[in-house]
Amino acid sequence: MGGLTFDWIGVLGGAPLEWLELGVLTTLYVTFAGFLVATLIAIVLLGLRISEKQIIQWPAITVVAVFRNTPLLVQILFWYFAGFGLLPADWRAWINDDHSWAMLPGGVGLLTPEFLAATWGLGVFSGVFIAEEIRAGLMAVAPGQREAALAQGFGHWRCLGYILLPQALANAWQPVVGQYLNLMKLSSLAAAIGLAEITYQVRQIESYNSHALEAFAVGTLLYLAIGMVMGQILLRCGPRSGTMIRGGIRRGP
Amino acid sequence: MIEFSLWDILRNLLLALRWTAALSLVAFIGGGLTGALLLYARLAGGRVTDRLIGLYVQLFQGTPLLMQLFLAYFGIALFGIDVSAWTAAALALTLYTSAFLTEIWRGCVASVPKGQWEASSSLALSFVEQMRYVILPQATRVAIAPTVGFLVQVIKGTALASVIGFVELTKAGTMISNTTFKPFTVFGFVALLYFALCFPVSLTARYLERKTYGPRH
Repeated sequence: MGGLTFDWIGVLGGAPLEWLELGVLTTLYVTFAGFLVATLIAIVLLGLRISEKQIIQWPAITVVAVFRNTPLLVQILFWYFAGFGLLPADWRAWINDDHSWAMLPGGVGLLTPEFLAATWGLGVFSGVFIAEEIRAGLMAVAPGQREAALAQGFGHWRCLGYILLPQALANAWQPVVGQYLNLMKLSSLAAAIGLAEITYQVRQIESYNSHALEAFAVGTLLYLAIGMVMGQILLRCGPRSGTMIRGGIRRGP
Repeated sequence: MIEFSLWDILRNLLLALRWTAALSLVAFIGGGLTGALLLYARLAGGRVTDRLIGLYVQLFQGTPLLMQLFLAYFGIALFGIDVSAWTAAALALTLYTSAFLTEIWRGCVASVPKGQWEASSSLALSFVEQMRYVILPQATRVAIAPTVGFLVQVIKGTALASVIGFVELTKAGTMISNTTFKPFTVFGFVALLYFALCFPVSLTARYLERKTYGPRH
């Protein structure tokens, strides 16, 4: 063989460039939608998990165990092939219709089985992990905090909302951000059900002009770049454990 | 049209499960050995080795496993070497596992108090003797629970090998679902089989963690 030569124009020009732009947009959209679903699911699961009644805790424990111990790819395939088929027929027809209002800027359809299954799959999977991270953060709050709050007449939920959860969120924010970043990286699995995000486009370029190494290198760098920006934004927005309550006293001005 | 019974579906999935188990074992054992070598190099080597291995870890932890699999499958082929899906998957998963395990174990070694290193070197133990008699016995105790926990991630990771065409449990599930038109049953079974494989490992990891870090009596 005559050595390895790189041709970046084959990836960063013409049709492949347009595909990559569409891919980045789709990855961003599905990540954002998944982010919303994951947050919602995490809140619900956490609410069930920290209730004082065993009967309410058990469903949450089961859900967590099932979704943590099966591969996300299988879950996405399940939602896409089996879950979607369980919806009533007229819902499916409605989703498969053309919706001009559900077109996101850049020409990415929001109401497609692929987008919905990917969003839901990613959201449920990440939500389960996020709920467990926050619960771990909750368990790391000193027991005196709860006792002091109860002694001052706070009820179970108000004690959680005002005293325990703010500290738990600060404790767990780093791993929670890690889970959100993981959600972005795992959106690559949606390529398996045909969602046209970065990984899908990279494979398309590979089969279009067989620029495998260049395409995968660009794809990997795109994920790395999105991850770095997203990580910075989330870390800036979140609570900082340093400035939060430590030992019950707020430090500094 | 041929009718497929439940047993037909389950039997074929169980046959494919062997490949999931085999790939997990190869990745875990290969990754463990490579990870141990990298850990040794990192502890014994100088700054440059440490940086290089740190970069290796960053690379594999910061990019999607799917991309790594594609790169192993399509990338190696560009060098004129013909790789089967099995080889590419085993290679990519082994490297991925080694990066995670070496980082986990480095943390465990770092958790051994500095005084242990100082005391053992003041007793004139060589580096190998220090590791063998003082550091590793203490680090191993800490390492067992997270290592077993990571095994779950490896087993789940093997599902991605289906995307490059390696016929393990997930790929078999897709194929069977396409022929039988029973996606609900097939993917339900697939998920159940993964659960049966991973859940006992998860429970073991949690048990070991309690045993190591839990309150002593």
